[in-house]
Amino acid sequence: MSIKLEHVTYTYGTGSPFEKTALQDVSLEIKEGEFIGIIGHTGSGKSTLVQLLNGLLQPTSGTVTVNGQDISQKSKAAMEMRHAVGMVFQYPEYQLFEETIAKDIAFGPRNFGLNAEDVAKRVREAMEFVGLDYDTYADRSPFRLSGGQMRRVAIAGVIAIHPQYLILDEPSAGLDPVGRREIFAEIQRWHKEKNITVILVSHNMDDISRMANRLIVLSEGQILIDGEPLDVFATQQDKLHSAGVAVPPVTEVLQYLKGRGLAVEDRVHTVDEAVASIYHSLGGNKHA
Amino acid sequence: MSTPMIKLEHMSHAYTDENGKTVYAVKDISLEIQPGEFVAIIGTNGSGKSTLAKHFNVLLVPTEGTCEVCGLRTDDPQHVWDIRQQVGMVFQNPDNQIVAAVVEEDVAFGPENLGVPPEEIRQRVADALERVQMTIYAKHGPHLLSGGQKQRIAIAGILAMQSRCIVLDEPTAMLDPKGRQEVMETLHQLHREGITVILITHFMEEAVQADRVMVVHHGELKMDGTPRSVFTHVDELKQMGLDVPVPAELAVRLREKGVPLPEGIITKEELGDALCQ
Repeated sequence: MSIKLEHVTYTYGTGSPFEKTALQDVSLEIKEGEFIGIIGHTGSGKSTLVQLLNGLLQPTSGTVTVNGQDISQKSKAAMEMRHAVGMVFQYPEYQLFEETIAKDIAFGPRNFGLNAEDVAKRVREAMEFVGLDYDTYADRSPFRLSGGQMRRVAIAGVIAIHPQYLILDEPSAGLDPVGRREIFAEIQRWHKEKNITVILVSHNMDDISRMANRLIVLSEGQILIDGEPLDVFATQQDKLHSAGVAVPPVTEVLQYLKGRGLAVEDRVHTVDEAVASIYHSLGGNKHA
Repeated sequence: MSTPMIKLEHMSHAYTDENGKTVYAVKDISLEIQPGEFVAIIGTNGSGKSTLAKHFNVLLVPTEGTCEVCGLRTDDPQHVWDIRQQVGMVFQNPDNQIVAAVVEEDVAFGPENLGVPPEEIRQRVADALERVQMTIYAKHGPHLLSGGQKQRIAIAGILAMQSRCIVLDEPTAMLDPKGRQEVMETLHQLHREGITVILITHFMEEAVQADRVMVVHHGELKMDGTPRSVFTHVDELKQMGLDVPVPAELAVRLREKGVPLPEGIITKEELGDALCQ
């Protein structure tokens, strides 16, 4: 079970003066159960890539298969596989439109042809999952919620279609640290409990470093780096820099201290680990 | 002493929620911001920081207390347009604030509405684009620009109105690191030119670069001081649900473990100096 891109090229505005190749001969396999972080500067091809994964865009050349099925086909099987890939766009709260929260979340499953009873079950479950109490919120208007809550409703709407692969485009943009942690705790739980494959597009290296087990860096429409995040941060700084992306703030500080001669371990995820690493490095030092 | 750019006296903003209860989005804030200051406002979602900032160019008026901009009270309808000309606002989403199909026309929108003569508009637009380093994009379509470039166009639009103060509500939230850097460099440039910059942000690395940091929590002004004096309150900030710059947090945690570091470390350079003597 995987999503496979084979020699995929995508060109916008073919034949027009604005013709631009956004992705150039990309081959990639996303395996079941992975948590992938995709990063790259504006225009690097990230959004194009993720839209190809569920058929919102069709490759100009090459193929995209989901669980072995070419999703560019018009067949029922191809449609079902496109449904297996759920996508949460940037600022999804702007896409809420229904009168009530429950109806908004029900939109996806209802359109996928589920009966009323199953739809209701999915809505309840999705709301529970994103931490919105069904009895309190189901009949409220989504437009009277705070930004963070609206985003949860929008994410619930995608979760209600039970995607096997979940793509999130900058799900934490504009959220404060608490909101960010809450959203990501939910996504991580979903990833672990249901073995859902998560593809996270983000500018926030901190988030990627803490959660992803694989980091893909796009640059100029091609895959520049594909590896384990901490490995990448430790060994490929020059390449990251050339792609216009930064290492996480914790890593940056530790690499700086290392550069100044402190024997710190810079392969860490969190501030706590960094404290331990610095403390340890001071072991034989006059400070300790 | 010159007139403050912004002056709030016991200002509150209350609204009635769906259950008929009075809720204070901003509560009893008094402060002054002087011309030429670079102020960062931080706070969690729903803390009231955006509501606060919307008073600075009369998108909102106080329900209690007063707000003065350049000495003009915002609750006097006669002053609305004068104040809005002095204080420009840039929002989070670059795509929501561009109105024209050509960059230079977008920048000209403000001065056109002020009735500035065409020749002078040309001059102002050219000048504004140069100051945000977007001159070569003057004839481009804004939709082909990057997020950082779009935000700089929005800033140029304010410069073309010859505003003296720019309020930015999370202008970099949707940008990549390069775009964020471009916007921050532009803000520093304007600050050097004497423009008052008020930056609302969730990025502590950005707040550290300001002269002054204000922390808003539950609608109240909880802290107001230099980045150094604010960001050394690591635990208080964390309790409010805010992050602190990584070097500041590392320094405090190391001190707790008995490493003799001086107080007031907020940058990696300072941490390095203290650790690697």
